[in-house]
Amino acid sequence: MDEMTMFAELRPIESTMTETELAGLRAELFPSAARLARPDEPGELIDLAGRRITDQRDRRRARVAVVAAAIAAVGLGGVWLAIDRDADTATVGPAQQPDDSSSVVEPAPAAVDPYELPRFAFAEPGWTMTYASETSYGRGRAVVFLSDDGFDGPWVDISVSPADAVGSLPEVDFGAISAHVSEFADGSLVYWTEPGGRLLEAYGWQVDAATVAGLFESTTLTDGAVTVGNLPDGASLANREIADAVGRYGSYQFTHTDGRTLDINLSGGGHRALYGRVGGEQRETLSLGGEEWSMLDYADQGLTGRHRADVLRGFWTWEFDGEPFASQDAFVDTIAGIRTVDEATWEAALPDSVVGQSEQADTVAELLNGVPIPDGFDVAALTDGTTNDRYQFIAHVSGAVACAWLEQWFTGEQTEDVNLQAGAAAALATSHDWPMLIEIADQGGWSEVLWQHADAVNGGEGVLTGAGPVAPTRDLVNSALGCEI
Amino acid sequence: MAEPDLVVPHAADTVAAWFDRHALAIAAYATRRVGPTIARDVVADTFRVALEQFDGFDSARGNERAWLFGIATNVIRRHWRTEERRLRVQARAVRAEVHPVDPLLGVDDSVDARRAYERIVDVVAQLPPDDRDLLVLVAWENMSSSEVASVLGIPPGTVRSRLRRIRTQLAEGTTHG
Repeated sequence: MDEMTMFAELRPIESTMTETELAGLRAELFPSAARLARPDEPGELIDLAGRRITDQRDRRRARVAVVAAAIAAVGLGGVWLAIDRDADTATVGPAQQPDDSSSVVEPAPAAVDPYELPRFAFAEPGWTMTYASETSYGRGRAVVFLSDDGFDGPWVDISVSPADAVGSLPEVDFGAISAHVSEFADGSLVYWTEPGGRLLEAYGWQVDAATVAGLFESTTLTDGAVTVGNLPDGASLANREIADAVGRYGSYQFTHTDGRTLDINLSGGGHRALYGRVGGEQRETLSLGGEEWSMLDYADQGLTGRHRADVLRGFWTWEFDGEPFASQDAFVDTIAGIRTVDEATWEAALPDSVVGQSEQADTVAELLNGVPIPDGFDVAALTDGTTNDRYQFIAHVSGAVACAWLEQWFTGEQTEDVNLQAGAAAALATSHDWPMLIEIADQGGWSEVLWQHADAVNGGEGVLTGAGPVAPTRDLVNSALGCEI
Repeated sequence: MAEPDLVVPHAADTVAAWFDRHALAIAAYATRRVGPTIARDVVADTFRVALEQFDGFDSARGNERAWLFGIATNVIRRHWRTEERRLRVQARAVRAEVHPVDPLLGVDDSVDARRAYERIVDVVAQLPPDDRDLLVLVAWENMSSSEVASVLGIPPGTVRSRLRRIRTQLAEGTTHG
């Protein structure tokens, strides 16, 4: 049993507030506010005059706040600020007519390229995308298959790790190398500092630490790319495209006209990714259309109407999490009707607030207008075929530029090249005037965090952390800005 | 700045509707973390803050449930010592349930089992508040990375990288001492 599962076992099951207690508290907080007719049907709001608020525009007005200058800090530096939004968004329509029989469910067809994030559409009308974020991390990783079964068999994933990931894990002497080790039911994590001083992390899925350590003996890191020189018999190295897919992740949110919401998350990496989502949880398994779905009904946690399903489809684990649904069957009906579609169909259904593949190049050009770029910066690499809402895409573009300047700044610091450092600092100082950062400044915490780093390299007090302001380090910027430098 | 196209005349109605829909879940979450007595105060403070800061809610950044959980999480932080004491009690209680006294079970085995849970609690108690919140949201509330990201106001990638670090720390904590 791994430690996460043990901690999950510590989850208390005490009785919480009763309906009567909640009603009493409600009366204290909202003495004159009307009650929901049926709390499990979010569309059924009743105003003070006793009228049902069912018109979609009224429902949006009831949910979206006025443009304001007030900022409410929530959680770890997250910033919520209401802005004016175009209320007319396109609906993600069905790519094909839905089957007329809900009793026969066909598995979703595989994506054309099994290692690209699948594109999909709902069979059920009324769903609109409200959020999209496609990220990729761990560039330059190496993936070693230890059998002919690819991701269905044992495999090892080696990537650059933050320096503080080791903590005080026990160090084990494997003869040729020493490494810090954590072993668990389905594999091992092994951390090793390569000759250049960078910490490498190897996740061995169904592989013991000794075997992983053996791979490290011939592992090198060159220009940010991990390479394994000597492979065991029967092992093979995945090509760059497949290795990069392991670090790819898609996160989307959809809202229905009736108020239901559905999160869809896609994780790559075969069974390892499914394990990461489901782990050792005790779940109901539903066999549907030749697939095994791991189901979770949140009613046990007092969240009536919320359901979750995880299913492995080839390389990708699909996670569906939505509420409120009248029943698990209703939830399954909705998600079973989601089909994969081609890129053109996917893009055609995206709302205006989301930047699709075909719009990326023009959007990059627009965002970088007037922004200083380091010599050798690969602008074309920003056009990576992902789908993101405009906030996330601006974070992606501005982050890439800031990371490049920060890498130059750190290089100047290490080589004592004052001019190199000064040039980077001056460029970053202009970030306060970058239109893209100003555009999203009141939508989230990204701009503020980037500006803190810009100020920190220009004589500022440092980047704010839980321990107060600290001078920037490579690991700090990698964690805060998603750099990989 | 663009002119607002919406004005919400009944913020209290909206937040009250959110109360009807989510207060029980917020109460259950608070109870699990700080116990039933303090949970009532947490729920009350959560919705008071929600009403005060209603103008700051942006549905484009996440749903109201995530926003409310984020507020509740911040409120719960005032009671982190209470939470730590409860965790230690739960560690002893789980040990008794999961590993009932078995005459065939050696004393050393049962002691090891107790220590394993207590070491986990030690690690969790020493986690920074941010990490403890993230761990609880994932392990006890079964939230996905994207939902945790919405609640805590951090990128999903940061959730995953922090969770990886927390797993390592938990593993390290139970192999030592």
